[in-house]
Amino acid sequence: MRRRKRSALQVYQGHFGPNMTPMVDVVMVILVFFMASAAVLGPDWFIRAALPIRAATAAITDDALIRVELTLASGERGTTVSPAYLGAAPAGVSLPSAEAVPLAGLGSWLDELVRGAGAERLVVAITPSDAVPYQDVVAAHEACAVAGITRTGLATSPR
Amino acid sequence: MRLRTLHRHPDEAHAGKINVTPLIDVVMVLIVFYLIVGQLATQRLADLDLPSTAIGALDQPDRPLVVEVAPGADGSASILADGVPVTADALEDLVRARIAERPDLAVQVRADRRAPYAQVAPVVEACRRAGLASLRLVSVREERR
Repeated sequence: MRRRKRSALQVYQGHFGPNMTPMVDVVMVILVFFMASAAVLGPDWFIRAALPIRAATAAITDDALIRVELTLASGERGTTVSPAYLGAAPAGVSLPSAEAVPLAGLGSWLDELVRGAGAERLVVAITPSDAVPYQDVVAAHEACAVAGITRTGLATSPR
Repeated sequence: MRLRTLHRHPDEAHAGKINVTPLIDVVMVLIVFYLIVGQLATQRLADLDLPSTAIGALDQPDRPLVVEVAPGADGSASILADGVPVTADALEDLVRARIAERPDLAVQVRADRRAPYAQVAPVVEACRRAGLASLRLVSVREERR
């Protein structure tokens, strides 16, 4: 016996249960929504900078700590870093000379500093001058973090 | 011979209509999506070319204070706290008030990579005066060099 082909309406009427199509549509769009919002509004990538109080920093009396100030200055050949030791170095500690280095060479200088003093004993204050690009300020923080120095602060020259 | 196309059953006439229910569902959800994302995006993201770093941390603090330093056309910069323009003094008061509410307040600083530090320094100083212990300098993650 030959079967008669059913129309779309007959197929629809012959269907039992709820229509899943709208639900699947909405679920798919919600899925896309959460994927997109997670990408746009996800957590930020950041580098932490402490805000030391000058008076408190100056009052550090722990002789085991070595305080270093890195002054960033902008020049024709880019940003240079002038290190300065605040206070005397503990006996028996070999520290690199406090000569100005280009920002690109800060990592090597910090590596040498960490080898001589140990990262856990270092307190570094970064003091940028006004004209230094913000990228270089962040790069100086990054160099300290790469060297393993955790106590890094952002000092600002008194205005 | 009977022509079915000319003499349809009344119910069959509905078979060719498009079901617009899924379309309306999807359109409504898309509208809500763009409303929410558009509002959030304008709240927190000025058009800034952020600095890039290879190392850093990834964290989503609860209700951070987002401070942006938006460069102006004349070389000056304006400070936005959660999207609202503020002065450095007002920012200090705001940070102090937020710290009173939440001692573990996270302040995220977003500034253009080319901006001179003089434009960012007022933000740093305001946060320091307000008693904040640290800042989060937001950057763009780059591959290790």
